[in-house]
Amino acid sequence: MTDLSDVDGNLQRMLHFETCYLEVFPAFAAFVHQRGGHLEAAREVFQEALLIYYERMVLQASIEGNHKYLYGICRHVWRRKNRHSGTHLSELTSSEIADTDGPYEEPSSHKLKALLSRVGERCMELLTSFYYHNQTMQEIAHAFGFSGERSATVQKYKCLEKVREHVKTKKMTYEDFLA
Amino acid sequence: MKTSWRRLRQIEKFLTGEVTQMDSDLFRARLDRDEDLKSDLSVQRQAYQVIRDYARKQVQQEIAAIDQRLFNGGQSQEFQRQIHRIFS
Repeated sequence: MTDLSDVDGNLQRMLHFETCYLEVFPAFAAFVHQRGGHLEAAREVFQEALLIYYERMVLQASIEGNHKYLYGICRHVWRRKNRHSGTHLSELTSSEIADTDGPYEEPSSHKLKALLSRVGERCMELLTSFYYHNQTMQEIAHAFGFSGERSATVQKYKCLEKVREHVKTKKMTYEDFLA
Repeated sequence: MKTSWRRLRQIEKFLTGEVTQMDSDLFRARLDRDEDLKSDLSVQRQAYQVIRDYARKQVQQEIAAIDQRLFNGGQSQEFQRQIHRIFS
């Protein structure tokens, strides 16, 4: 079983995604083709499904590496998009596909740039390792070269405070803008 | 003014449910009468959302990069042929 919360989290994750493509995408492509869909649409849906799969997988370690589960999500996303549009996905343009309701509102590159300049890339990596990728503080301490869990935890709160400051500044800017 | 780590930790534990029922009730009672705490909690919630959105964007980019490599890269021709046969 692939341990996605390993020290080399990024590399492990990329390898796992590639395996998902090689093992699940052909079956899903056949499913899409049988329903009159095109390759571009299958790729779009697969990317969205893979993100959903990863997030559920991280939350529930018990379904790690379950390719049947990924295939199920692909079919679900495909059907949701078809139902949403009331037409075959193959008839939609890729921008229309991108416009259908995704799992979240994508942050703009301007916002990300502002966030990174304030918080720093290393801090964001540390925070996402804990709050999104569900790594333990022990794993984080090892990966980021801290002497132990305690110093990693102290750093985590320092970084969190930076994000909080960023959020507060954003709010202030918005209010100033309204004034 | 900076928020103390102790306060950040307290809010985090409350939000993630890592507290006893009694501590949770006490925290709620404090929230009712402490506007600063209420505001800190709201900011912290937004901070977690910012972190999740950032991470999600990173993962999306990783997936898109793999998609590009597999469908356009020279090292995955067998995979490309396999998919092409399905759609031909």
